[in-house]
Amino acid sequence: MAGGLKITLEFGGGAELLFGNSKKHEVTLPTCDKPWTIRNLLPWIKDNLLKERPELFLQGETVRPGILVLVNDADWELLGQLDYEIEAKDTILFISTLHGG
Amino acid sequence: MCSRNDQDDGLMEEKPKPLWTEVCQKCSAAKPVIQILQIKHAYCRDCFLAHVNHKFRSTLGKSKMMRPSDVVMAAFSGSVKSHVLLHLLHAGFSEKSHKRFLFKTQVLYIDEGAVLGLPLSDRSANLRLVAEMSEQYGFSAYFTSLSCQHDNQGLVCVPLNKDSALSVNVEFEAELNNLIANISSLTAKEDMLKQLRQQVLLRAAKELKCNKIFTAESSTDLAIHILTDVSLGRGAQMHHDVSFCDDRDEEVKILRPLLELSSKEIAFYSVYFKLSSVFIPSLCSKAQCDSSIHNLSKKFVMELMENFPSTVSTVFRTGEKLGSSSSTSVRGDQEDVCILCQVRLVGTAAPCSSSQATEFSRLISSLGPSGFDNNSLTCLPPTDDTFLGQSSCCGPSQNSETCCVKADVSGKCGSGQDMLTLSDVEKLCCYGCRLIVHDVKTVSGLPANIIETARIRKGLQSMRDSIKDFLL
Ligand SMILES: [Zn+2]
Ligand SMILES: [Zn+2]
Repeated sequence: MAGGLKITLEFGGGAELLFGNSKKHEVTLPTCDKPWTIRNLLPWIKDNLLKERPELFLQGETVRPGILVLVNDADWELLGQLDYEIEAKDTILFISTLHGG
Repeated sequence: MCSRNDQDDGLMEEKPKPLWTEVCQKCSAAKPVIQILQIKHAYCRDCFLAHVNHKFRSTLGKSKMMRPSDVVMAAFSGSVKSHVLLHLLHAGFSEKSHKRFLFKTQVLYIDEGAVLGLPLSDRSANLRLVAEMSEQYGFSAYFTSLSCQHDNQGLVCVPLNKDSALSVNVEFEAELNNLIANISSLTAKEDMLKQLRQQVLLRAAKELKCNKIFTAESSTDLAIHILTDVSLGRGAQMHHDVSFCDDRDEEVKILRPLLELSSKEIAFYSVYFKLSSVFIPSLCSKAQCDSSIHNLSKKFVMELMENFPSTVSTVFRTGEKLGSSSSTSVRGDQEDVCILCQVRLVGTAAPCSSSQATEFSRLISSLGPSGFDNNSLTCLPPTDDTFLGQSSCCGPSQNSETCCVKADVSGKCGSGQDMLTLSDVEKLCCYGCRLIVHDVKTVSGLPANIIETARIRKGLQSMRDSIKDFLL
């Protein structure tokens, strides 16, 4: 797996505001001896992409309640949530349901 | 009506373990993509989308409120859920023959950029995006501004299309900003904005000759509203805020056709149809979660959803049931309603009511430890009197010198703007709105039409008072 794991991260519903107002990020996760899961993706996002106010995106080791996670358009609740093992070319969408309107 | 999903009424049922199911539990064919918590099922994409559409149509259908002659104004903010509302409406109009919606629909966008301090360029860009989104469905669309409530006359709605330009009335916007800036707490600011938005919707609907308004609140939003309303002392009007139909206004009903869908279902629907949205930040978007009561309720409900999902629908359904008994109250004349939110004033200040207690503690704090004596208590409104029916026009507030002194000459108190005091306005408000008005610093900051109504009602009241001695 030279060159790491290439995936797409998307943010919507207002969550993009915390990521420099950019909805789509093509990223390469560095090669690592453990498999990448969402559990260790979240701190990576916090260190590498999150521009401000981590408490509005994360709570403890998971996402803040009210932020939905979809892996390749499927509910992460059906995929093991934090334990989902990320594969190359996955698209992971974080969509916030926290703002009114 | 209250039998909706009653099978899962578990009060504090813990979140079920994720369903490791290989196939959709509806069609048993495709791979599931979403776990729907209310019904504890995992559905595939097609079954899920059909489920959302069905919920929307059945909510409208079983209300038995829609008539072919109806003209509906869909409130469209550009947000995810309001776009889902448009999409579902459009789907309803594209159905074949007997399933097609027969009513007509128009779309209204309210520009609130002024309050949020967005630069004009951002607001114009948002307007264009909103225009593009509504245009693709072929609805006729209009836009207006939240500040139009400071304009007492004239038309407020402007047709919206991709060439529309935002015209800003600097004076009214300054007034609106002033009003919001004058309110000290974020809770009261949000509450005021909500009331203003509601008034603009109703006014626009009347202007566009619509007899119904659709708004896009999800069941999750309504659970948040319930907790917020209770915390804000708006329990009496809660059923208007959270049930399918708000009929406070005599001509225009506000309906909430998405109220059986959760924010999760709505978000997934928008993802699957690739519905774009404009993110327009709200006052509290980036605020701390304990910055206002509304934000706190939101945090609470979201955490419930996460850990005890069925509890959210319990909150929601409890609120709905609380409403059904009080919503049968007879409609009074316009003089008995709160001038801000149009809820009927129950006017009874029972001894030891919370409004009395608030009044009392306010009095004590304003007098300070040395100023309080036996006489101070007489300043409080009498317990068995209604707040509306008070004979004095200045109440216990400190503003009295601006009021009665000049009033006696003409016998018509409140004929000039400077004579209308905040406490006068407060008396025309329900308990919840009184808390907002109490947070406002000056009367002149209030929207023109509220001042106008307050003045008319106050005039009527004092006229009644001045002739009451001549009546038997
Ligand atoms: Zn299916
Ligand atoms: Zn009110």
